[in-house]
Amino acid sequence: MANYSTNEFKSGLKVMLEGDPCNIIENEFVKPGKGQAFNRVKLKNLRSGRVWERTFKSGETLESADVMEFEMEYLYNDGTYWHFMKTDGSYEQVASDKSALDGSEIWLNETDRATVTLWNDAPILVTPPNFVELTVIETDPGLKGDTASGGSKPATLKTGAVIKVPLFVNIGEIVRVDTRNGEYQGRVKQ
Amino acid sequence: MDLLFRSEILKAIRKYFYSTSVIEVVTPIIQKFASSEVFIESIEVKNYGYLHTSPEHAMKQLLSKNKDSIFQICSVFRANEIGSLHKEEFQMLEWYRRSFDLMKLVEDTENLLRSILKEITANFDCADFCFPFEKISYKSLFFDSFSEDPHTVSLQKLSQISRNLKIPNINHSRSEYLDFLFALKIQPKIVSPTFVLDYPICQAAQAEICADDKGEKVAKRFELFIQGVELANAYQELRDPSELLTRFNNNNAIRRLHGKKQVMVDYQLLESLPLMPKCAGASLGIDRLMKIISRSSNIDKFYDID
Repeated sequence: MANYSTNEFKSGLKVMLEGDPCNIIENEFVKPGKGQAFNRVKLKNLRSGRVWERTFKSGETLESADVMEFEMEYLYNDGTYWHFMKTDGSYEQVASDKSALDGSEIWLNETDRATVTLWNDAPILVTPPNFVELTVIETDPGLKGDTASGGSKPATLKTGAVIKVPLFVNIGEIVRVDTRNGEYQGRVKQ
Repeated sequence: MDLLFRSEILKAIRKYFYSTSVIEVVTPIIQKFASSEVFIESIEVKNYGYLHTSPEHAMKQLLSKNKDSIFQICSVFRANEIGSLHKEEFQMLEWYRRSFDLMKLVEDTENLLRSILKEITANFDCADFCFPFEKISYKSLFFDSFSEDPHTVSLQKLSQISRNLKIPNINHSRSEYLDFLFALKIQPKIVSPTFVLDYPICQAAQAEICADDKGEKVAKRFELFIQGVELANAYQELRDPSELLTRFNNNNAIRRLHGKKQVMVDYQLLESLPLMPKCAGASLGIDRLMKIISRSSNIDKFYDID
């Protein structure tokens, strides 16, 4: 496995720290005028999602992490695992447990594509597309023609996600949602 | 980047020194000796010597042969220093004032910056500085953060504080512990322009060691910090060649501990030192000054030639 020295650290580099794969977010070179140089590094632990701040002596090394991101098609959920298939023509499938989904399962629509991060070939992180289009399966009846009053109501989508939608949205309609903040973006014409 | 920005700053620096009878000098960029500092690496020029990491030694030799106060604006070179505040080549202002002590140089530095700002505020959008700058001893800053006296705290205690802060565990010397703690925990908090005075003697570099008002031995050195950035470094200059030789040898001993190549002692400087008049000298990073004045996030843009 390759090692990276602090001067090769850059945002996006995947390294091992304390047994977990991490993604380097920021690397700052610090050197007191006459003193020893060091690097203040921000890393995101890819397993916990937590951001760590660590200080390294300049020249220290970290082992690279065998972390790869793949675009995959979401197939189905068997109750315990969520199954994905590579879209590179290999039809290779992986199964992810709930911990790698970390709440993102509510945005997974069958046949949609998601980014699956594999560490040593096992999924550790599933990132849904930034925008998904999902059918509303439950909400209070819409107020016809009310497209201006600005009020909102909860709506349940086919994947189980509950979001806030404008009053005019009805059951059966498809809405576009930003998965990063769960915000309604608009209706999708069918 | 507006080309005029650096030009106007250089003009303002020269105007200040010319009007206060400080003579501009030029010293060779290629030197016979590498920097004696433990953590400053010189860039070697094969068959010629080294690119200077600062014009300090050469300017001191000029001082020992002439009566004048002198200044120089030049590019200096330091290997492996690359970051938002570091470049391997950067522009430095260095000046020496005859018969000045450290406090007179503090005043001089403040006057210089006041004068630069006055010259350029008409044409550039500049950060506001509050004059007069704050002055505080290294000791009180250190005590405020760690409740310990940096001059007397034990190595064990320093190691314990560092461990609690998850500072990398290496074979630190006293000076390295102090540097790490200062750079990580104190420096980022110094926002308004502040002169930090009277350094621990293990960080004297080429500064004289004197007793402070409490009788404690301190290095007559200051650094000026603005917005967490170290802008200038200054000494009331050491003139005792045997003391300087001891420090050079100590530096080489620490280099050995770190597995670094030893550097040849600059005997030419040692020979000229007894003739050097009492003086104080400072260096100031011009790119960092530009960064601070223009409120930029790094110094790279000032070198953009694309």
